[in-house]
Amino acid sequence: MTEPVTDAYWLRQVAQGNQAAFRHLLDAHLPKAYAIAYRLLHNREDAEEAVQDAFSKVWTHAAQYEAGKSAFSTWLYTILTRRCLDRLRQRKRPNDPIDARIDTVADDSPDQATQLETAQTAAALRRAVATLPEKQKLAIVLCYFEGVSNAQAALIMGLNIKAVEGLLFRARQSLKSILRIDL
Amino acid sequence: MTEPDPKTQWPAPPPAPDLASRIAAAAFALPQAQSPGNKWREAVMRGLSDWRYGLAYKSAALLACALLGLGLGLATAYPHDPDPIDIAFMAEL
Repeated sequence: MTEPVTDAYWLRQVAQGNQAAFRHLLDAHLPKAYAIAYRLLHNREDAEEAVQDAFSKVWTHAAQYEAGKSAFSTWLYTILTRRCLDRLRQRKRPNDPIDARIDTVADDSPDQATQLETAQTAAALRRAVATLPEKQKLAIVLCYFEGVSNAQAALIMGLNIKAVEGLLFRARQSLKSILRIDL
Repeated sequence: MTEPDPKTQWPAPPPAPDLASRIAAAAFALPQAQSPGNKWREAVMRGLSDWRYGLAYKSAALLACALLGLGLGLATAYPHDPDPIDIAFMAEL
């Protein structure tokens, strides 16, 4: 019987030095990994570096991945979020001005008023999320923006589900009070 | 009322088109760590194929085997002849 082609299969190939398998995993997981890093770090360059660090570790430590313990995506996001939190702690400089990057969040709608509104909402959300404590920010980015389940977020963050739910509750309360919207 | 989709409210920009290539190039320049089992297997295979690899360990193992063999040989090759005085004592002569 042939084995189903899963991330674990590709990772075993990576552990044997298969570069094509690594490219396959990279292509499959890069967009979401980058989105998580960007939402945590609020900066393209930092997000790119964090994602690069995380995937480099996947390449170098592929042999140490234990398939039965967790899904590959959980392992990847655990590495990635640790890299992001390290960067947040090291970063002393303030965030870049929001307006300088507002073009990156506007959608392709032809309606300029809608575009501007979307960009303003995005900027307000980004500012609000940036004010949250690290763990609340991580929980809200994973569960609310990236659709990761509470259970998987708990694995990624090394917490239990109740703790993640508590972080999400507090984060929602903070965002509500900052944005004055129903989340 | 439906809840607003947070992704449309704060869309993350897509990664740069060349990011995947840059990541791959940087990763492939790094050596891959071996799992502990693979490390041992690789060392044993190299030790078998290259006589100079791990020569100190091979010499020490050879010496230990030689000493063990010598010791066992000495202990078993010449059975200890019973002392006639001991036999006489045991027989209460």
